[in-house]
Amino acid sequence: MQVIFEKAVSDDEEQAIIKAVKKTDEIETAIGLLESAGGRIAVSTEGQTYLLEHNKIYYIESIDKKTFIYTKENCYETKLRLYELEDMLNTNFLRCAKAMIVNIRKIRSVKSDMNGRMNARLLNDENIVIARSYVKELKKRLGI
Amino acid sequence: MKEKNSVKKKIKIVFEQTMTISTGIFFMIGIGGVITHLSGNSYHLDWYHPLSIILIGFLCALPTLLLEEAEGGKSSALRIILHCLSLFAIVSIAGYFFNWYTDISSYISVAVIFFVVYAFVWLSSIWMSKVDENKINKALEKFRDDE
Repeated sequence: MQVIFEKAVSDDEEQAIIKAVKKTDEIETAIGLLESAGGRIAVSTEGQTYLLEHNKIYYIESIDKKTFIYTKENCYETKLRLYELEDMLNTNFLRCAKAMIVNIRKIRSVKSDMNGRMNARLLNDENIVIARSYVKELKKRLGI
Repeated sequence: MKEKNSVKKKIKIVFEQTMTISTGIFFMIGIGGVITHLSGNSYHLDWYHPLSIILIGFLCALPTLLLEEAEGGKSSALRIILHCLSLFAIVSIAGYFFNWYTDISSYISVAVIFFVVYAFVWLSSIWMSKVDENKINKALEKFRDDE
């Protein structure tokens, strides 16, 4: 596909147009990336509230009806529920278990476990489990 | 909507497992039939045997569903041992009611077939998981962030 970049004069003029015969998985991924570029989530820790960029998120976990967002070194809490975040985030984010969403771009490697599960090692050396039923979706997102 | 999808997923797992287990048993019975025939002995199935195999495939799929659902608690190895034993109990009890064996030697044959099918299914699923693992790791090389 031919890619053309035109410099815009102001922020208001910024736009991305994709012309294609079919909306393929790759195009969906590109749209997701463009739409979420600069996307932020309100999170809090130790009484302070911050705006956290989507691309800083490693994984999100729901524990006892509370939602925690993990970055490379920190853990934050958000008032958003897991399903709300799932709808809000782009296709880089995958539901990997009933109570967890992972940023695929932060997975260093996977190792198959018994029973079809995968143990994923993240870029910060943390390990999480990808349940068997979500492995198929992971493969789809990676274009396998 | 999500609950509906979850039920659909469970039905799909039960259906797939029923088909896999039934096919495995049919395959082993087929091989057993060929060996028996080549040994010069007669071999036949009763009218209810094929359906009983599918029914046992279905019953064996139920503990498999519980195994799929369990995410924490006992270790994987212990869960698999419990799964194997529960399936063997189902096959033994149901096989008794369906007259799959008439004496101890035919019961031992059924037991051997069961464990061969079980090992075959596990080994093939481990092999398929390894193939997936390699494919995913290769794809991740292009996909992951540089940090």
